Amino acid sequence: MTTYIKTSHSKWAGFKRFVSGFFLTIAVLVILIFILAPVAWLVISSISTQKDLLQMPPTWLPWPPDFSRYRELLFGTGQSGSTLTDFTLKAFRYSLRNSPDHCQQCDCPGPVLGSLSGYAFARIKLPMGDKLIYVLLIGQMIPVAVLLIPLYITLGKLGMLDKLSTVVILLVSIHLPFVIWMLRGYFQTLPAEMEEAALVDGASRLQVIFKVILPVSLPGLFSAAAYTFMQSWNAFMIPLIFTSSDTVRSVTVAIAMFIGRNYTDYSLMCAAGVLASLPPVLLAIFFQRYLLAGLTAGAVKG
Amino acid sequence: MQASAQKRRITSKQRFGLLLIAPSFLIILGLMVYPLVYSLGISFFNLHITAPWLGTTFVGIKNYLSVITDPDMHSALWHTLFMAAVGIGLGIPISLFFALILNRKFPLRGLVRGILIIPWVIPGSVQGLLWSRIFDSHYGALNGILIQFGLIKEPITWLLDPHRALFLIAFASLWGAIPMMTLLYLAGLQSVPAELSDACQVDGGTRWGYFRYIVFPLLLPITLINLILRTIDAFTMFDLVYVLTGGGPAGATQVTGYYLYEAAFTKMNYGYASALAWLIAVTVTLLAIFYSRFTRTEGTAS
Repeated sequence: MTTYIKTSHSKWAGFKRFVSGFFLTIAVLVILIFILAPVAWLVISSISTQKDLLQMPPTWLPWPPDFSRYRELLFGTGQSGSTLTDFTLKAFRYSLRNSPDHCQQCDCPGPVLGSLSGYAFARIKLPMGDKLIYVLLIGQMIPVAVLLIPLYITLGKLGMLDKLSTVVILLVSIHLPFVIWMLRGYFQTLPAEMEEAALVDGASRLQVIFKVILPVSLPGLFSAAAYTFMQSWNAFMIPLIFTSSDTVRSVTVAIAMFIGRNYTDYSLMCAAGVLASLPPVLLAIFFQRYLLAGLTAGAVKG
Repeated sequence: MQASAQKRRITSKQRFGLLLIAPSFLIILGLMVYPLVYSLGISFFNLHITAPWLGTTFVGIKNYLSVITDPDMHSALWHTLFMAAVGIGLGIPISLFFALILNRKFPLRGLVRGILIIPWVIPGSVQGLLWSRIFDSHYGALNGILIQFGLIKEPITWLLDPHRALFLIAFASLWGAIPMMTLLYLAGLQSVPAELSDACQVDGGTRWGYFRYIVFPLLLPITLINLILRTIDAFTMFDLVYVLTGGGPAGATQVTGYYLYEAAFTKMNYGYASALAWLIAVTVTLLAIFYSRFTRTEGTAS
């Protein structure tokens, strides 16, 4: 049996602390390698030349780095003798513009609708409120694929396929239950006295929401907006099914098309992949604290 | 008398609350509940999309029967269960280990936690691209490393081998899921009171005993969430299969999510696909109920 005797000043304790620190360092390194090694290879591939990659083993650290693929993707004409035709280059650049577009549009209605409902669920005892909350939870659980066939048929009849706005509406509605859930959790952490004071002072209920609650809820709203943005940017199945022309394609679908068309210019594909990952990754790192608080609270309570 | 009248009457505050949630619930009703009912409806019909002159015929439960008796579907189901088993069997220990490490204090812990979320926010199709550059049979990084260290002489055909491909896709999917699983465990660990650790040490308990009899039972609700999330993921898996293998080689990576997509949007077999979608949704729900029973009995036993 182990006995715990306080010997913090003895050499033995120092040795033990050294060993446990050593193992902790190893463990953290294992985590970092597990997470970063695949990403690092994507980034390295994107700045390698064709010759570096098409040999076995590849050049692990190409020097000097070759940024020509990024230049070609962002500004190139596609005629510099690469495998990329002008047509696909245009398609990718369209998609780079489309994705921010539809994400911005998702970003507005999502958190606004979510905060109104989230507030109602957090503060007001609604008739049948418990049952409506269950509707939200089930909305989170059902596989999206169940909804897609009827939506495809109905929206097809309405002539709304292959439009950016359709993708926006679908993405907003599919992520709305979770956004409501997340913001409800956030509003519950705010003290109710503030609103009561404002009501006593003669503010209307709507004024309370817009002038008292929302201004102090910016962290919660940011995390909801960041969540919606990331989910819309990363969405794949919905843009794949509901769009078909290059002018409305999302960047995630454009990347899949690159791979599907059997390009051999691997560094170009990887550069496209890096560009497509930058917005969500940067956003997640900047809003890390807010985002994680909202996400884990929403999930743990669920 | 007056009490019951008061109960039934909706107060102005409640009316205001209902107004607040009305827009969100209209959207949820139109874009989630209506399609859900609609898809249940068409699962009993044959729509003859490819032969519209035949009209729509009621076929009863024939669609369900043909899903259940379809041998391709059986192999897809086994592959899906294998994916779920890998996601749970490897994912739970790995994410729990990561969380236990990241819960200890060390320099730059915030930075490591920030890096941890990167795989989760990289778009699914870019993740597919990333793994395709690693598992490539000719110039992949995995073969590169093995050859570099002299472990193999000839490149291994990773994704072209039916047995390896399924496991590799399961692993790739796990990589993207580890961050969320770890963060959930981290949130759970923060609710474990620190005094329990001291009390355990005073009583002469071992570290393993502390983990097994105190920490692990307290984390059971989180484990339950992770079990459910992994199962939903396995049953709705799509992006990675679409990008990496397209269900091949020879159907070896065919999973229910991808099979559903093919049935609905390449074979245009809406009735069959709707029946399949409903069977998937019901299976996932039943598994979730089974897990929660299981973790509850485990929780009371320990």
